[in-house]
Amino acid sequence: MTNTPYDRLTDALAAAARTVPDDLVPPGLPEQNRRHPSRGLLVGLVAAASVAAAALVVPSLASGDTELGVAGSQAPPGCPSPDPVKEIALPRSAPGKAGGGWLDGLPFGTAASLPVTVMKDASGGGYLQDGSLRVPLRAGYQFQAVGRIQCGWIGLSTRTGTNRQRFDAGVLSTSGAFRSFGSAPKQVVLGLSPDGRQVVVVRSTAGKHRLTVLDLADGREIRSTETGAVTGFGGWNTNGIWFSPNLLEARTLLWRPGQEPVAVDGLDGHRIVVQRTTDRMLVVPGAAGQPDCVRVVTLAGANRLAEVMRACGATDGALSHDGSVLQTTGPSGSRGYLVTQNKPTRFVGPPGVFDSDSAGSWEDDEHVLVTLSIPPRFRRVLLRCNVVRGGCLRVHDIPDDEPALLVGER
Amino acid sequence: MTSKMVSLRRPGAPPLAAADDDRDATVSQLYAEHWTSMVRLALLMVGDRPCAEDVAQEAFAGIYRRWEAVGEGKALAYLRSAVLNGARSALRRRKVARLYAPPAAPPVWSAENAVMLGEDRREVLAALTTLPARRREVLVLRFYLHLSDADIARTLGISEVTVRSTASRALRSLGHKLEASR
Repeated sequence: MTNTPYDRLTDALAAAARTVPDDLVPPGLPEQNRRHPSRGLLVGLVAAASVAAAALVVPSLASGDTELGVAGSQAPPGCPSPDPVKEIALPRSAPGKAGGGWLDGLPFGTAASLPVTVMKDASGGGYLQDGSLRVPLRAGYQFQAVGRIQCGWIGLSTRTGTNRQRFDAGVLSTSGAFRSFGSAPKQVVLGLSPDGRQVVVVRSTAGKHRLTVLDLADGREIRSTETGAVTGFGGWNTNGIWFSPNLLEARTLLWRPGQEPVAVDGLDGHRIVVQRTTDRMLVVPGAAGQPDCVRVVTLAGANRLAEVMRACGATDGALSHDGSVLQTTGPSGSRGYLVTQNKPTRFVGPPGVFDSDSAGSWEDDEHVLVTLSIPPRFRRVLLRCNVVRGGCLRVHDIPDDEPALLVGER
Repeated sequence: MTSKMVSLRRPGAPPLAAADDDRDATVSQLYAEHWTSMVRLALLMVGDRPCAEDVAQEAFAGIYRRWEAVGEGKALAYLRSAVLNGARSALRRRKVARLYAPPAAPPVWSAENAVMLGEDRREVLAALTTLPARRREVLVLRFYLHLSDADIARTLGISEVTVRSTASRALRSLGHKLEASR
C-alpha cells in the first residue's frame, strides 16, 4: 500500500509506464534482433530520420509469444530435476484485432506466479509451469495442481481421449513422475491440510463414497468418514474439513478427523468457501447467478458462525489467503473490500468482466488471476487484477481450444 | 588546373565510412536498449502510446542525424531531452489540433483507463497533467527515472537550484490538487 504523496506519485508513474510492455518492438526492428542489434535494424531508423519532422510511423505490437518464465528446468535444491521440455507458445492479440474491445487494449503483465498447466490442446500432455520450473506431463493426461508441496505438487490427473475418464489424485514430482494415492478406481482430490502434510480425497468403491485423509509422505490412509455421491468441498482450515455430503441437500458439515462430523448452523442454503491459510471463511449464494449477500465469517463455538462483514448484490466472491481482502462478483460488476475496515478498495471491475461462477485464483493477498470469456466468440483471456489498488493486466490470451491452460492453486 | 579536396572533418577523425559504421552500430544499440524506456518517458508526458511512440521515434531520428555533435557519452541524456522537448511540442500541437480532431487514444490517466491503473493512480496522474510542462518534467525525471538534481538539471538545461525550487513548487501544487479532488 502506498501512503506518502511521494510514494503515490512514484507508484502512479511506474504503473502508467508499465502500460508500455517490456517487449515493445520498435518500428523497423525485427524481433529476433531486439537483443542482438545488427545493421539490419537501422533500415527503419534511417528511413525515419530521412522524414524527420513528419516521421509519424505508428508501430503496433502485432504479435509476440508469451514467455512463461525462464525456460529452465532446475528444480529447487534437494529436489529431482525434470527433463527439458519445449515451450508451447501462447499467441498475443494486438489491440483491437481479436474482437475483445477494451480488453484487447490491456497490456500484458508478467507470467502467472501460480502453477499453470499448458497443453497443446485439451488432449493433455504439455507441461506444468511454476515460476522458472517447467515439468513435462504424461501424454494423454491433464493435471491440475491443487497445491504446492515439497518437491512437487498435489493435484488431479485426468486421463483424456476416452469415453471413460479416469481421475487420479496424487503427487506430481519436480522430475515429472506422477504418484497416485492408492488403487481406488475413482478418487477425487479435494484439498490440502493447513500444514500441507495431508490431503483429503473422496474415494469411491462399490457405490460407497468416503471422505478420506491421506498422508502425503507415503499415501497412507489416516482417517475417513462417509459422504455422498456428489460431495461439495468447502475447504480445510484449522477448524477442520468443511463439506456437504450431497450438494443437492445444502447441508454443510464440519469434520475434525478423528471425531464425528457436526452440522454447521447459519448457512441457510448458502455455500461456504474455506482456505487453508486463514480461519476467516466466505459464505456465498448457493445458487449460481442469483445475487445476494456475500459474508465473511469465523467459527464461533462448535458449529456456529460469526459474521465479520458482508457485501450484498454479489453472486460469488473470493477471500485472500490471509483473509484481509474480499473480492466479489455480481451483475453490477466486481468489487474489492478490506475486510477488517469493512470498506471498499480501489478495485472496481465493469459488469460482465468476471464470470459469476469464477471468483479467480489468488496469487498473493492483492492479485487475483481470472479467466474471462469474451463474446461474441467467447475467446478466453487470463487476467491478473489487483483487487486492492485496482487495475488489471492480461497474462495470456487463450485462443479457442488450443493451446489449453489450467491455472492451479499455490 | 587541379582541384584540391579539403576535409571538413576534425583532424585525426576516422575515415568517413568507419565513422558511419560506428554511428550505425551505436545508435542501433541505443535504439534496441532504450526504445521502450523512451516510449514510457514520453507516455508519462503525452498520455497516449501512439503519440509517445512518435515522440520517441523522432528523438532517435534526431540523435542519428546529430550523432557527431552528441557523441556516445551524452547519448542517453540527449535522448531524454529530445523526448521531453518532443513531448512538449506534441502537447502544444495538440492544444490546437484538439479543436478539430479527437486524440488518437484516451490518455492513460483518463476514466476509460481506470480499470487498467486503478482509481488512485489515475487521480495522481490526472492531477499531474494539470501542472505546467516544466514542473511535470521535473517530477517525472525525479520520481520515475529517479535522476539526481544534477542529472535533471543537465537533461532540462536548467540549474540545480531551479530544479529544486521547481520540484518543490510542483509537489506543493500537486498536493493541493489531490486534496481538492477528494
